[in-house]
Amino acid sequence: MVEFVARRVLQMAITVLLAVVVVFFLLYLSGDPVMLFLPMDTSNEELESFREMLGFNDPIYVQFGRFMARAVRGDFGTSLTYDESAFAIVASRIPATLMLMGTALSGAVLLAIPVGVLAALRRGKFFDQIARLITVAGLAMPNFWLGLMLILVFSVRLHILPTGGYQGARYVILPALTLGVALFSRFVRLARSSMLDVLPADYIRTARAKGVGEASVLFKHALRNASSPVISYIGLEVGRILGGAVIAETVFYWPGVGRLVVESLLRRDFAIVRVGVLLMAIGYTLSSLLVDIVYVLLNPQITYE
Amino acid sequence: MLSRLIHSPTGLVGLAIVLIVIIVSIFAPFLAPHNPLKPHFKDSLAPPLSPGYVLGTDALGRDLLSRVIYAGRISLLVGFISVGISLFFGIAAGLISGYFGGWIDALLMRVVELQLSFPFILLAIVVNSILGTGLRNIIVTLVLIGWVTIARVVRGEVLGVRNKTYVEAAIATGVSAPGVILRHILPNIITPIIVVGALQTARFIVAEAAVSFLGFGVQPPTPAWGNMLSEGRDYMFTAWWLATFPGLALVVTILGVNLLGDWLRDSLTKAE
Repeated sequence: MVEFVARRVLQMAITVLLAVVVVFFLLYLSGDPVMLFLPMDTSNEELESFREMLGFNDPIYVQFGRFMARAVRGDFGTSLTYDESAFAIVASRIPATLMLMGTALSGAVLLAIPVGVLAALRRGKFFDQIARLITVAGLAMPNFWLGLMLILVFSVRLHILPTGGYQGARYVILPALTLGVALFSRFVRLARSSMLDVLPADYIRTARAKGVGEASVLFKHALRNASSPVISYIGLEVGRILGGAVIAETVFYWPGVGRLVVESLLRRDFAIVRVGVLLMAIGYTLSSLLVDIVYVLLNPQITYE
Repeated sequence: MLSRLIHSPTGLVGLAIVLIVIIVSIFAPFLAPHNPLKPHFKDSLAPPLSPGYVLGTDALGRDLLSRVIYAGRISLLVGFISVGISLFFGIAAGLISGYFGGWIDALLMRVVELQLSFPFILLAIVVNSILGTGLRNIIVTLVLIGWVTIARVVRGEVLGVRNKTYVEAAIATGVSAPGVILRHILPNIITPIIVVGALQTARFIVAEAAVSFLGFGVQPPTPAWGNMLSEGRDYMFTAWWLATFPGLALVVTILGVNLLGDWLRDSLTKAE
């Protein structure tokens, strides 16, 4: 177990390091931000001295070395639009993103497992058909359009929920729904199919034969075994959740990392983009690591080579 | 295979939708009632079913139906071309890496891992903002980050058949490596390639719409479902139709491609 975790941590560290390199060079290729930040009539000498001051004239390996040397100290440069530490700005947006993702993910899992289980028990019946219809629709709808439709219904028509921003718990409902519906749909399908795999198993029959109550059979024996695919799937889903958060945040003007990255890209504020993209990559790899570990802990019979 | 299609209502629906979208896109100049770019300032923000404008107009008085139809062309173009090019590179990389293994394979796997550590849509907007916006660059963006998925699938399939008797027999009888790969391996893994291609088409169409929605990708005034939705967002309180119909068109298209892809997967794997 310890060895498994250690190896995964090492793998993660390498991936993150490579991600840092990729992010640096990707943004290096994207041209000269100086032109965008100084007024049109700035003289060439001034442009040149600004570039010199920011170190844009040094060879790329010098810039990269400087970037890495600062990065290990937590210094990712200064945002050209906010004139503050890029890291501090991105960090201040993290809680909002975590709150949005946490609400969407926990809501999706908590609702999807009972729905999936029930659909499996009522296979082919009315409830199963309805669940199927909802999940097909939930998967076909791109989240940005779903968000707009939620605004139309709940904000424009019914006037019961705000269209965006963040000033209290009510503001999280629509963005979390936008992010959560597709997750919910995938989890329902997964819970249903893994329940269907588990129900005919010998240990379920044995439990029933022993006279274990039906509720106990379902919750202690079936659900426990059916939930592990869902858990391991969450790890695979985190990337999609992060991508979805970028979109949900933009639709609802949510003050999170995703919208900050989109806006900074449009403004070519690369210091912020670098930190934001990097944090997302780290968050993603870290959470898949965590999910792997939880998965092993929940399934003692699984051993990783 | 066609007789199976008749027995699969969902596959039939999928095929019908995809065919309709393709035909409408091809004949857009004849089917669209107006020029999608031409403003009619007197008729701005006309609601659906207004005389002359079935789906209404936007803030500049441009006909929404015509814009939705022309935007379909963009989506299909991006979907088919980017998947086509990705398939080319993805199949080549997957075949080579799966067949030869070694350092090429190790390299490909590192690239796959690295790419998977970034959320797809985030990578798409970063790459697209570097390349610059526009139709050509969104296609390049999707190919750059999309071939990897295909390469991974193809590699896995190659590993699955590489040790089959017919491959070993071919090698033993002295068939050259390219011969083995192209004549014995590729034809036997064509089914999963078709399936991944179909699913990837749906994914790329959504990705283009998402990227354009976020302000990159295809830029206004060229109509694309994504950037139309982004414009529609500003008129949610006055003109619900602007944010509704482009999205509806997108959803129906995606549904069609996915149904067709699912049916292809089911019927092709059953046939084997």
